[in-house]
Amino acid sequence: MFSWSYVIDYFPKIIIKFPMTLKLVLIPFAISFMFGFAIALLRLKKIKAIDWLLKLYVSYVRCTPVITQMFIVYFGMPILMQNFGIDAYDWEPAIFVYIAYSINISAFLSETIRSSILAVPIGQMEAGYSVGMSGFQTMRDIVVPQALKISLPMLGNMFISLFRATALAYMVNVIDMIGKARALAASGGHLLEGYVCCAAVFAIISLGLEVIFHLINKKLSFGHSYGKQRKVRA
Amino acid sequence: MKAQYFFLCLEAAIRKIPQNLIMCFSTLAICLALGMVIALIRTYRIPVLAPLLDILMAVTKAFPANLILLICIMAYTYTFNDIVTFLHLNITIRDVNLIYIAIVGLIIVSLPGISEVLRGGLLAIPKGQFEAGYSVGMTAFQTFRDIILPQMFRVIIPVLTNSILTLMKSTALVNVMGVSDILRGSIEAATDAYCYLEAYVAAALVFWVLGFMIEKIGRMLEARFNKGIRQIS
Repeated sequence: MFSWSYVIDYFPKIIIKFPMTLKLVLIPFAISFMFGFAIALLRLKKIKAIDWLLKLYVSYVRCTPVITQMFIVYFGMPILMQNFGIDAYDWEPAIFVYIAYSINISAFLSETIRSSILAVPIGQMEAGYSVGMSGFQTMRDIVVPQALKISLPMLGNMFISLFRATALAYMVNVIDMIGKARALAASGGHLLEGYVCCAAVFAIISLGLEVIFHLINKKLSFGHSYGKQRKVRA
Repeated sequence: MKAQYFFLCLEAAIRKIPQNLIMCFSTLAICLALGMVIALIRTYRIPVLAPLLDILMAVTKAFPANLILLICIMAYTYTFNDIVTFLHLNITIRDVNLIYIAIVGLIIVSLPGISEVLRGGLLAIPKGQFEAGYSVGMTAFQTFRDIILPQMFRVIIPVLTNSILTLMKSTALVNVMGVSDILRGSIEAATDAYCYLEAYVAAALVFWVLGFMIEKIGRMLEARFNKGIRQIS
């Protein structure tokens, strides 16, 4: 039967594994931020073949569940690496999760960043050119900072959803919080109590993150009409 | 990757498509009905209920989907005997199809998102539309049914397509509950030959096709309903 004493007993043992969950979020997010940017800029160039390929990639990531993407990397990566003469069979399982989530989040981030770059008025680009800045300088100093500000609410949402998605990593034998809960249950029973602990941690952190992102958005969109518009529509 | 194993898994996965479609669309139907009620309560700020639902939705949204499903199935197996004795039913746990529990879990997972979509749709309708309905003598319910709801439907199609896609993807998680679905069917076909990569690729392919179709249908509906609507861009 369910007993709260086990919840209290398991909680400190499970929370120890929180850094693993944090790593599972931060590393893929950092990697995919770079890749997402690169993909977004590439797609803005509108080269037909590349555009078509990237569209296919985004469609794959959008339409298939993360769990299958993760397992495809988990089982497929070692076979792929073998062709290059690298033995990936004894890599840490977490590495496969990093790769799978990077592939996943890059696609979503690239769409977000692309739409925010497109949302910056074209006059901003022309203003940059008119004072003699190069295309790259205008992008870096004028367009991208504005685009980032526009995309921040969506980036926040994505970060939180990635955080929740890490709850799948235990399936490829990563010892994160849920993995630890299962390990504890394997020796002492009481799996439900362990899951309740994990759920509580996930809920508290993602609610906290939501509040933080909300405050940042409020601060950044102060006096801007687009912040208000988005609020009404969402 | 061996083509022979791949097709074996693909066939097993395709057989299970109806299972996923049933789960996806029955969940969607219930979520739309419940979500509409929740959206109305939250939009018109009904005292006590509205803040309560605000908190409840925010908290539910904060849990990872697969943990909700896991906790659902475990809570169900723990409390099953109590419920049965309470209701004086003469059934054992094997008599109940687990798909119902999966649907309950999926409803909990996707209700916050869908009610939020509906709320967004409600807020997008100008107030003048209600007033127009009242001014010709319609009741509040009539105005809602005949004027607001059709317009709302048009506004939410793109976002709702996204929610359906997400819901479709989360049906892949029910195999943590032991419910058979596309993914589980595919993996079960793979256990003999130990060809898991092929199994997951086959399942992903089936989901991809389904997701692609959902997106296409969504686009078609969007184009159809937006005919004659003038937009800035």
